[in-house]
Amino acid sequence: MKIVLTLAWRNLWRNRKRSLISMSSVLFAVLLAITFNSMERGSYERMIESMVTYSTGYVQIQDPLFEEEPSMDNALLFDEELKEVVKQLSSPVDYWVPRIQNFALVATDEVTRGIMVMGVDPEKERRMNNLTDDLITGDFVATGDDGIVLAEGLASILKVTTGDTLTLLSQGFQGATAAGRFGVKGIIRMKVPEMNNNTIYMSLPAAQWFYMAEERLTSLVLMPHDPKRSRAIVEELNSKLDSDWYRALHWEELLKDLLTLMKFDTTSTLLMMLILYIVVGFGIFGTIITMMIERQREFGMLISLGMKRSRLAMVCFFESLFISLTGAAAGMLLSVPLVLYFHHFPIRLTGEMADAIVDAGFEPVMPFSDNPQVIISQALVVLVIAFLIGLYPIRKAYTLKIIDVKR
Amino acid sequence: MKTITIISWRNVWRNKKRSLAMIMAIAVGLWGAVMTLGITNGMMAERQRTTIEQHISHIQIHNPEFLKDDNIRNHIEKPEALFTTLDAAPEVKAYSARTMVSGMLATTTLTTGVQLIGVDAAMEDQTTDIESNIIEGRYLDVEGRNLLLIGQTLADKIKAQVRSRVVLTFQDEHNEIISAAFRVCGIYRTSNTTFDERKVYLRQSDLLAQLGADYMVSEVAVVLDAMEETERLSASLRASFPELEVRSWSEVSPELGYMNEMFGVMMFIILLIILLAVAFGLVNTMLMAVYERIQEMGMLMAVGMNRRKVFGMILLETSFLTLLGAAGGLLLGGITLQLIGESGINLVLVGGDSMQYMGFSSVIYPTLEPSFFVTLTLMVAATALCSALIPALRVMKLKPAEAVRAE
Amino acid sequence: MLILCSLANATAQGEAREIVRRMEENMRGDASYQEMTMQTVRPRYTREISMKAWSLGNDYALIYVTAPARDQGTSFLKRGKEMWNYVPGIDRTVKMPPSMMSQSWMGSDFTNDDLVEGLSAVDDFTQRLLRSETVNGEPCYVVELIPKPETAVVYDKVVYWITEKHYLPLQVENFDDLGDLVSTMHFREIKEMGGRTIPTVWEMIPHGKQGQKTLLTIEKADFTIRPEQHFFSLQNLTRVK
Repeated sequence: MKIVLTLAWRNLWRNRKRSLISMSSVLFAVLLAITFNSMERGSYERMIESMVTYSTGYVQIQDPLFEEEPSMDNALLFDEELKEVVKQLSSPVDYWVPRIQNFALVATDEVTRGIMVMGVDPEKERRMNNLTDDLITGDFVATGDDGIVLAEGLASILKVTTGDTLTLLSQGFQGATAAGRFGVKGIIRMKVPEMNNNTIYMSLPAAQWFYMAEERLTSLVLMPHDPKRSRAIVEELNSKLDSDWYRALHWEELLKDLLTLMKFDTTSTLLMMLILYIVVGFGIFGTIITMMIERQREFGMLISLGMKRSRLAMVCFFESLFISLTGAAAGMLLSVPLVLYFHHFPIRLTGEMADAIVDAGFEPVMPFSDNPQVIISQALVVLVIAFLIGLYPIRKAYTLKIIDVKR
Repeated sequence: MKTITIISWRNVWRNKKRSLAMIMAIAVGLWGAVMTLGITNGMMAERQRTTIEQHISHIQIHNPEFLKDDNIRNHIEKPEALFTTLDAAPEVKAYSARTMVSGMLATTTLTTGVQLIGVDAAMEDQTTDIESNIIEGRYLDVEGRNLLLIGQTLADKIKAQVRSRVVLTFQDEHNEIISAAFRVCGIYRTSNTTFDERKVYLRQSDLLAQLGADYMVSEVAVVLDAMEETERLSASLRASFPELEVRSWSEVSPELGYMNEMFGVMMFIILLIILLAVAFGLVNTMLMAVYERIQEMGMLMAVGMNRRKVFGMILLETSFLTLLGAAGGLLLGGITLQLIGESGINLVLVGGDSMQYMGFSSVIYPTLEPSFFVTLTLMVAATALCSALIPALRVMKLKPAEAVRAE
Repeated sequence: MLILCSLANATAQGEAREIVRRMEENMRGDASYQEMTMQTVRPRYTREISMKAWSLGNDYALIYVTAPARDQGTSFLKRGKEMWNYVPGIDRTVKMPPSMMSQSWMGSDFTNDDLVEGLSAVDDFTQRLLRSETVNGEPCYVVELIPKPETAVVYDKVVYWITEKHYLPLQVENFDDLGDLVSTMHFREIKEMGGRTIPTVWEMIPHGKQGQKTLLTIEKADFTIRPEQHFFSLQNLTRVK
């Protein structure tokens, strides 16, 4: 056994240039595969991240009836008991973001319009997604405030600005009438046009007062210390909380629609990767073929000198293994700085297209994913491909007729 | 020159397997590129075509106030002059003058927001060919009053069918509330499910009767014989009717323009990666070829073949490989596109139907401009030349005396 | 033979129409003042509101909520198809936009639309007598009402059980266009009140929703009053007690 290994290793270095070329084929294949894959995933991950941080959070607790019927009646009770359960989770939660989100009518003297009220804790929201950064005029509401902040589009439709007063009317908790007058404290620009025309922010206590929903929330967003533990957190919560009154949801459930949309994207990426693999596969095959010509003489000699064909095959086997492994490892190593660089300094898009992307609420960049899974999986795939191709000489080892060997 | 060409050609075939491997690699790579880009281009082209044909038309004309507030009172004053101009314009294929109001549609189960589009049945069909998009029931040209044509997405949402009764609620120009019962006469389906969910068609006469108004036009949509005429006609209309807002399709739906830009970027990246893979394969293969013939090279140079000719030989060999591969790949790609392009691919199986939300049809007809093939050929040629440089330069550095004796 | 049939049909139709007309007359009257409580029953809670209501024909109504304390002083005004809501806490009158009309009224199973609609079972529907049936010991006419094409109502069919004795409704079933039951109303406790005999308990049960219904009880009624049209004004909306 040791002889076989030694032979294989020495064979490689006997013909340095040839081996290096083969290895570099593998290396480059790995690099390309990782680059492309990382780029594709990067955009995908960025979009999910945007949605999660901007809107849904990683984990949400809701009233079980809320998903079916999102009315104030189905608002959860945010009491000490619930807080305790969250604090005691085995995977810790960095912070929670309590919210009330519901329909209301806003009225000026001329216009009455249906809008969405968002009752929030400004500190927590800011921490989650820099909500208050897009403030254009005035101030954002503070925790104890009783004023409101209008979305830019809505303010212009209603023709109001900071300092004006608006009336809000809605249906409150358990049928109560929700009614109140609120002073406009600030105006904020929202990225998504739909929301920009229809949203009003107020402090959480103000919303709870307005909807007569003391200690209630429509959703409690949890931001875990380690987002990858989200699934575990959801399971733990669902086992500890009374399922009649509480339900924990994972962001994948909350973003179901978006994920379905992405389904097509992942399929097309797979197709592209397949084409890439075939191309590099043939490239590697080409180098192997070349080796074969030279090896013919060598094989012929070894066999006629008495080496068993099976031994020869083993040597070829390990040669292929070494080349593939080295190439893949080198490829992986080289890809790491590349991926990391473009992850933190993504390619910036320009032109009208960039504007369109900004309009839709996303940053106009092409980020690379830094998920190690990409690097490892791609390296493995190419490794396997390279290895399998590298086994071709084994066939030769068995079928070679010594007579045919050219000198 | 001729000699070198013949020699190079013969050299390519000295190692049939290796050359074939390389040719296959290039062919597959290019075929893959052509297919991917063809499909993507097909998708974009299809979306652009259907969006213009079925939804936004080439030019849209409104009262400027309507774009801010789509109340019926923001209608086009004295549209007759506009109609006369449009009737006289030879590039206009058809136009539709619509009365539009947003309102609520109620059934026993659900109430949802919709946009009511009051049309002249004949004019509308000539402009958007809506009658051919009807999948159930009849168009508005049948007998009966208060008939409604709704989109399939909406029909599914409110669980309505042909002959279902619905109640429409909306406001007239004095903000008075109007409610009326309508019957669904037909269900239509376009490539954009979001559109289908919101837009309902009714007879202009029925809508005006409900509003208690004489003729009022909110929007005029114009379809031209040739898309290229859009800018010219828009400009001339703007000049003739400065009080109206005239928008071309690219202004109505800027993202259509961005799509083309996006496609350009995508194409560049995909091609880059594939060509990189090809290039590297070529470099490796040729390097291998050079090394195995190192003695031969040395001999050639020793007997008087000047370096430039050797250089040229390497270049030609590489070019032949590339040409064969490229020709094969592009030809196959072109043929495949032709074949599939006729019948179309149904992407539903790979999740393509999820894109309908954004207006992408799930059945697409891959297609590519001929100019694309030209560009591609040029890029491949450039790749071949660049790839040939490395082995060629390597050969140039050879010292004939050493080479002849090399192993 | 044909003429006899169609004559019989016409009579049947005419008969059905007459039954419905008499019922409507008994229920609507020209004007009324009523005091009632409305109980909204939900799986998780039950809520009760008390109110006073004035009405004039099908077109005018004014409702003033008297209890519980946090809703007290809220009032609603209907004129034709329009509806306004006054909330004392904010001293504001708000006109209901179309998007609110299908929302539930004060959290009950009735919508704003239901209050406002002012449909006439006689004029806005075609009637057909189906059969006679005894419900809770009361012999009733079972009349099918199909809305006329222009009638702005979401139901495709409404079936009334009308008592033969008093021409009062005992039960109403609302159907959608697939023929499925959407909601049922029961009328009970027929008493004499304020000059008429009317059912004093109305129960609205939406179909397919567990543990959910709305119960309206008329405590007091006066059908002799004659309010003027100008009583139903925006000013009065804020002033009424």
